[in-house]
Amino acid sequence: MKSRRVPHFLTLPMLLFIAPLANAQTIVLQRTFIEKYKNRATIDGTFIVDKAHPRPNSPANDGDLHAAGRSIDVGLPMVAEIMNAAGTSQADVVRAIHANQGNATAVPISGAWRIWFEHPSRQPQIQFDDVPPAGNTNPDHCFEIHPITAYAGKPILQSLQEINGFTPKDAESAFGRYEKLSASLEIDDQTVTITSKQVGFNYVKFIAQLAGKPDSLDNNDAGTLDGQVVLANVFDNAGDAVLVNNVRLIFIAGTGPAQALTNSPDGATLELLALPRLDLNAISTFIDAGGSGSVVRKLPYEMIVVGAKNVDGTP
Amino acid sequence: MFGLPILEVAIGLSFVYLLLSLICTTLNETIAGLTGRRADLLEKGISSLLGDDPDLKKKLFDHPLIGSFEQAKNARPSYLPASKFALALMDIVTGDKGAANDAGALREGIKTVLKPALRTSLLAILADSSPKVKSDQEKIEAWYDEGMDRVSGWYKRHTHLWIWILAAVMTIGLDADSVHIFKTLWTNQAIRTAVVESAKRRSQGERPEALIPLVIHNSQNDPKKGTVVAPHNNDVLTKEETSELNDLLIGWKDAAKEWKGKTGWELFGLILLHILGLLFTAAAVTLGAPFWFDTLNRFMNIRSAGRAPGEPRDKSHPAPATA
Repeated sequence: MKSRRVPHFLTLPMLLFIAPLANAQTIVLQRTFIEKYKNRATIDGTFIVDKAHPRPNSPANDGDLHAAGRSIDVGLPMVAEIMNAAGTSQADVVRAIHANQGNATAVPISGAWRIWFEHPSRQPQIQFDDVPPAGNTNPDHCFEIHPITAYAGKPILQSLQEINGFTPKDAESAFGRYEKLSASLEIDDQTVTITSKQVGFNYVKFIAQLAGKPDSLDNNDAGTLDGQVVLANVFDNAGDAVLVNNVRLIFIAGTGPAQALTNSPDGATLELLALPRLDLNAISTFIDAGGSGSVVRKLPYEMIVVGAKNVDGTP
Repeated sequence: MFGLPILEVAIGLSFVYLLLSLICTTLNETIAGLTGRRADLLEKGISSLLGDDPDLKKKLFDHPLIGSFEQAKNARPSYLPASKFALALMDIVTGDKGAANDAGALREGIKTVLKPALRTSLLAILADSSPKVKSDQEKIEAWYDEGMDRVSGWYKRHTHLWIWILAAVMTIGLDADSVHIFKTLWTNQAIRTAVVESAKRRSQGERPEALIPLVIHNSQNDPKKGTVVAPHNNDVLTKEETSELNDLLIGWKDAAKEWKGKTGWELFGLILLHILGLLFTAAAVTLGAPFWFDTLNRFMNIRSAGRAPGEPRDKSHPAPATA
């Protein structure tokens, strides 16, 4: 009779396959949260500012203003960031953030939700566990509201535009990296545990050709249109060859990029500035199809568009 | 049309090599992650770029810009963007003399802070008037990227060596003798038929060169919809594939039984054939899963009596799109 060597042998690689991810960032998301935000561009809630940068980053370093804090609507260590924070239109919001820093006041905030494994922590971050006050402006986190679109009732939708003086990442470097990212997912009845290695490549500039028609995203908490989503093919730096097909592009309602999308005909080619984030729609679709247990797959991502113009230069 | 036993044996052998290659690749990736192979080589590459100056290397890795790329506290980064490297180096070199992007302070710092060989290299790089690179930071980034191309080459060579080691260990550990596998497939039609069926299923799956996505967004006018990829396929091998490997691998215990009672040249011949079978398997496994996946598909195409019009030659060479 044959011995059963192979099954025992195979348990080792399967266990070891997951093991190297142990030092990476692990986040445990509630499935209700995934379902709520899988087709939303933004999140609305309140935010307590624990620590904020005294002044915006220099334009060469992206021009953002970081504020670390907590939100009961998110339930994870997080930061919120204003784009083009040195702009005069953003001055009131910058002042309001500084005024609220450290006073533990929960102030209304809206902006693009963003889960990305950029600032890993040793311990898993479990959604809606206790979140201690942030000790500095950039605590270990993988949840961001970035960019902020309104704070304390003051909208700053116009802050979503090109960052003068900043050199974004190029398409080949950034998408080359995104496409190689893996993620381990553990799915149970209530939660999805996602582990992935650290990755940066925040702002990336690229040429994209619309691959289909834009569709409206779900309404936000106020019951108004939150934005649009469209699939697009991303081109290499020279704009000659397709790097990645059918990437989900997220446009926030009321912003310049959303207007550029509205003005674009089918199949238009756009030059975009965007931020990557986890694609919750893909995770939800996978679960709906019966996906369960533990899987190691390519990290699903989509792009939040924060700057856009037609390739002929029309804003 | 073709149901030739020899073709089915070829399919069976390709299938076994594909499965063993998949296990080997998984083990290699795991060990690379556990041992920090990428981080080691990155550190070695950066050290080489910095003229093997340990103080400068320490300052660079201690710099807050680099620290943010550690996968965990006190862990070394396994990847470092060129922009962060360039900014951190410029910041260290300029020190208190000025901002990191202050051209004068940078050149002054290079002359005073760095060792002669690195000093000469960096000053030559900054003096480059090529229209492609404009700022000092971009010039240092380009220099770093060239260095990282070397690191990629080292990583590939290390990986190749590890694949050989793992293929040898796994082949010996499982006693995966190609000669025995060939004999079993040739003489046992039941096993051969089951293996070919499993091979067919495997050949219709994803080519094992890349990670499988969760979902593909391919409904171009419905970007909220996606097509799920293999929601239940989470294991390296399926249960059926594992069972078929069991049937085909002889095992040292059974091999010893075969040799029992044999003496002289007969025993020598059996052992020599066994060793050759093991060597052949190990060499085959080092060719990698994508190679065996493509080979399996070619044999499958021949077996299915030619391809239907428009059907891909194999998964690695998709047929051109038609209107």
